[in-house]
Amino acid sequence: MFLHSFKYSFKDFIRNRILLFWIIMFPMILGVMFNFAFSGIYDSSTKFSEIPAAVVSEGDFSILKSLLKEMDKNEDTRLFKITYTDEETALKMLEDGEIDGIIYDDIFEPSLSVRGESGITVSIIKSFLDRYKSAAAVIGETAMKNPKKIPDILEAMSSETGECLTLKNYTDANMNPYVTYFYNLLGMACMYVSMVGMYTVIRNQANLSPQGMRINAAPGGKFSMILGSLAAGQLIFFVGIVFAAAFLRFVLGIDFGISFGWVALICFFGAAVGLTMGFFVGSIGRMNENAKRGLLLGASMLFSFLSGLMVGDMPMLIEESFPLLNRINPVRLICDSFYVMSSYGFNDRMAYNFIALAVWVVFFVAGGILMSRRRKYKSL
Amino acid sequence: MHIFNAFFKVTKKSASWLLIYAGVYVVLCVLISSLVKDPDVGYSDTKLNVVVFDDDNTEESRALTAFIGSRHNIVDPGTRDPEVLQDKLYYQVIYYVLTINKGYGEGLLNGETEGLLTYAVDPKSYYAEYLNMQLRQYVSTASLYIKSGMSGSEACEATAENLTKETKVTVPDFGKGEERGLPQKFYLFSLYMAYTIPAIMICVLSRIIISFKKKDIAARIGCSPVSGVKRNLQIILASVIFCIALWLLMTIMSFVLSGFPPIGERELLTMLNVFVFTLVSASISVFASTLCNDGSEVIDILGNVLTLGMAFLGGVFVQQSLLSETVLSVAKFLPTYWYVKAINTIGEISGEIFSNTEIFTCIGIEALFAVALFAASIAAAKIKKSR
Amino acid sequence: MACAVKIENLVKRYKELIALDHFGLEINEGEVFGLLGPNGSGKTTTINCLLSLLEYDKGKIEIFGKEMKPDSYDIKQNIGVIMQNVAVFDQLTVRENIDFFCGLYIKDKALRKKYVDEAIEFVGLEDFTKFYPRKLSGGLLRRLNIACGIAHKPKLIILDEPTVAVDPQSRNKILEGIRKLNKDGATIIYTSHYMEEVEQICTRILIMDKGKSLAVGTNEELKKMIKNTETIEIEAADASTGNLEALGRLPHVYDVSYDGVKIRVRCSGGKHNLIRVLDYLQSEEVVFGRVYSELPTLNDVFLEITGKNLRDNA
Repeated sequence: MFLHSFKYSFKDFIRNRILLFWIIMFPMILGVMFNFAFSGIYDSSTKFSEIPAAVVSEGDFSILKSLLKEMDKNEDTRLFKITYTDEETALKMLEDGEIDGIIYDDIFEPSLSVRGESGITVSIIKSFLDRYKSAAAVIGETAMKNPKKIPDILEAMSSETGECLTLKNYTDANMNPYVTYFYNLLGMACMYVSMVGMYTVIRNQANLSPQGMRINAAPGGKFSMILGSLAAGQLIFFVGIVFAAAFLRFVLGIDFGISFGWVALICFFGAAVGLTMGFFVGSIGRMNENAKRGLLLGASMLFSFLSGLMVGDMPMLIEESFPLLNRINPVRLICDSFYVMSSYGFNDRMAYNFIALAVWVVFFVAGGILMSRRRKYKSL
Repeated sequence: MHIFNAFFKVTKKSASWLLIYAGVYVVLCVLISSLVKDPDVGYSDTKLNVVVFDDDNTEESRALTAFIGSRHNIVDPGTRDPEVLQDKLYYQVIYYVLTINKGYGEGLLNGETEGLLTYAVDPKSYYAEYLNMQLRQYVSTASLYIKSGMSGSEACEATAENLTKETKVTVPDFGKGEERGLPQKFYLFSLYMAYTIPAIMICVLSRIIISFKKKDIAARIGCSPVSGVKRNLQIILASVIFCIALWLLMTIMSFVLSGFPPIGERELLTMLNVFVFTLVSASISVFASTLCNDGSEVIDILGNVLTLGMAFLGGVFVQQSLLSETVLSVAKFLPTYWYVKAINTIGEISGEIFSNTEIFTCIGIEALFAVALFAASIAAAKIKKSR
Repeated sequence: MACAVKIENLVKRYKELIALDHFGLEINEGEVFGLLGPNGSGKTTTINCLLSLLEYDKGKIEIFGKEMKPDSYDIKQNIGVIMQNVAVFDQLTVRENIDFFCGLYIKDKALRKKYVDEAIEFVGLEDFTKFYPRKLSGGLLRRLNIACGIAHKPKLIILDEPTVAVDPQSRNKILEGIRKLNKDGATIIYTSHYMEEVEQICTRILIMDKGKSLAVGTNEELKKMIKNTETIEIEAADASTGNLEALGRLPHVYDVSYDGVKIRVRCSGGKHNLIRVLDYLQSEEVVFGRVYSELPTLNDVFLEITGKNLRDNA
């Protein structure tokens, strides 16, 4: 009975091209879009363009002015696009958005005026002024205590100081922070397999479809029928998702940071969770089909959102206030599995993830069986 | 107007799952906008949890550690196990791990500042660069003091003193009087509507329209003496009413969730923007349903691909100011981009300045999208019929 | 004759509504048993209870002498079902559908293949084996539905309204097929609200309404139960009240009605009623057109018992 059901469910699912198509296309299309959108961000230095600012100064000569002019000469050091003007014009320019800040060039206390909202450009102007002030203070103090050393200082200031900081991270895994979006994408695709699980139940239950009625009127345990259908679904859609993952990996060049074998294994568990979730919801007797679909969709979206698909920081926020959620959210488990595997390889946390996913599968299957074990129904 | 009426009858009957879909997305919107903190780091001097390993143990290194301690929280992780540290970084329990390499003090005194410090960080955060700037400033200032002839300890002391003086920042009052920008929650909620409204539309509206197109019903309607154009117009009209209902719902929610901010010019502009965008979403759904035949299981996934993709490219989840030029130029073909641009302009976020012309241009372009798509659906229906 | 199906005292309630009200029947092996009743009378409910798919509140159901339960696999093995709703899979071809359902009963692959081929031949779908259900017309779809139900050669075949929305050619083929199945030894339960079909092929008929069994018997037995033995209809443009009264006084006539177009005379018993009526009209020089004489139908039986027509939903 199992094989019989498996064989025909396999044919059935594989011919339902539309569903298969979209479950695979979903991560692929979004993967392309993500890749496109993110390629411009991570390397944020490419985004840098000169910050427009105005300088309002008392006199003609000022150290700041000369410094700025020096910086302007060299393309590498050019930070700003400066307009030298009076206060009134500068305020107008600030209000109209032509400039991001007004630098008041006072010899002792240069200050800054901005529009009021925070922003990276403003922070940069401020930190530039901070550094200038620091250096000016050093010069000032030296002038008073040890004027002979001023040429040395000026020389030190204008020469390249060696970079004092070296980055050395703990893992040499792929540190592209945006790769988690792709992990989450696969996780969400796994959730979509729940539609298949739901369909399995409907076609096998007497109170949900005429085909189910005919099947239940026949001899034989219905569970071997259901398991056969589920197995077929798992096989087909697991392969589908791996196909999408392969696309992400080999066509788009997204580096998962782990061997593809592990990717496939994680996808296997993920698809199983999605499938059985659909089985579970599909077995709920009192709901109509559209409502079940809505519930599955809602759950998929919610899990994906909580795992950080839309707002990347979500899991961090959750970790602070409600960490248990991160331990049970299936999409989070899938995403975390990718992360952990790529950072450390197989370890305790990874084992936990697999176990947790397996527990979900068992829970869903058991729950589904419990709900669909009726042979006779109150109404058909 | 029969189809018009039938439309609402169908809507009433499908009320249960309609509500589920709409509910899901509204909840999502609420969650996203209420839980997200201000994305800007700002210069309100954030205090971070930092780990410092002092391998040098000189006066200079201790001074550096003290300096960091004055700006941030120094945390002792109790171990140097890289796995533990990486975990803490990953979950942002700590943000930065600084190792003051052996020879720091010496190098500082010699003026050789290269490679004195090593750091580890979670690249997901922007805090790395912030801390780096502070460290670089400290080191260069200390070097300068040393060059000026001070001893190590003198230099460190002077540096600490020096760096306490920060640039004064003022915000001139442009005399507008009212609060600039938009209330935070209101802005966020309106922003994320760019994702949820099209999502609701496609899941719900398209489904209803598709149920009309089911072969039998379509054939039955096709026999009636109502022309194809009239029929589609009625569907469009019904969709518009649906829009108004959805728009009202979302607008009310946005006000409720942001604690009933006073309704000023900006809030009104936002409401207008949302309304036009809702119409655009409806036009997308109508158009999508003319292409789709019967796959109601597909509509969910298709809708998600479309709406998520548009949201990402249009700058909903990632600020427009961070996206590259290429991406933006592609995004300009999506209505979502214009909606977000308008909202950002109203709220003066992401580097935008408030400008009525700008806002109305954006809204106008959105409206054009709606008109074009509605027209396209009528045309598509005609072509399909003639096949 | 052995008893194939025995239902005793079956009660099924849906909250307030009583769908089956102490319903009972007995079907012998080899019969073609008809279940006749208007929509909503409880036919499908009875079938579903019979198959142990539907829970019932009271009663006993026995099939082939054994109590019927959801796990009575030995009984289920011998039952074939053709439901009112076409129960086939859209993504499987005709042959694959039949093979799938047959496979729920017959494990042996070789035997199954033989049965499937025979089933296809039986319903006349040889030219359509590779077709998908959505490409089939209503009639062909029904034939497929039947093939799926009988491929495993069951001893008891249940058909629930098998000819709804079916073209005449398919309908005939279906009825023919049922006769043949019966001849080959199957017991048939046939539910319908089309009395013509039931009259045609059923050996015994049960008339039911509102969950109650109203009358059981062969065609002739049922018709003997009612008063009416003959209904005469005559087209007459102007018959007077006097005419009608006079007709009413003719022997064996118990009811006369006139709708301005046709005179309807109902007789109970007697011979040559038609001649007497025509003689009278001729003698009174009443102009008449066409003349119809009908034997009572099952609808008349139903009408007399319940006061309703089979086709109306009172």
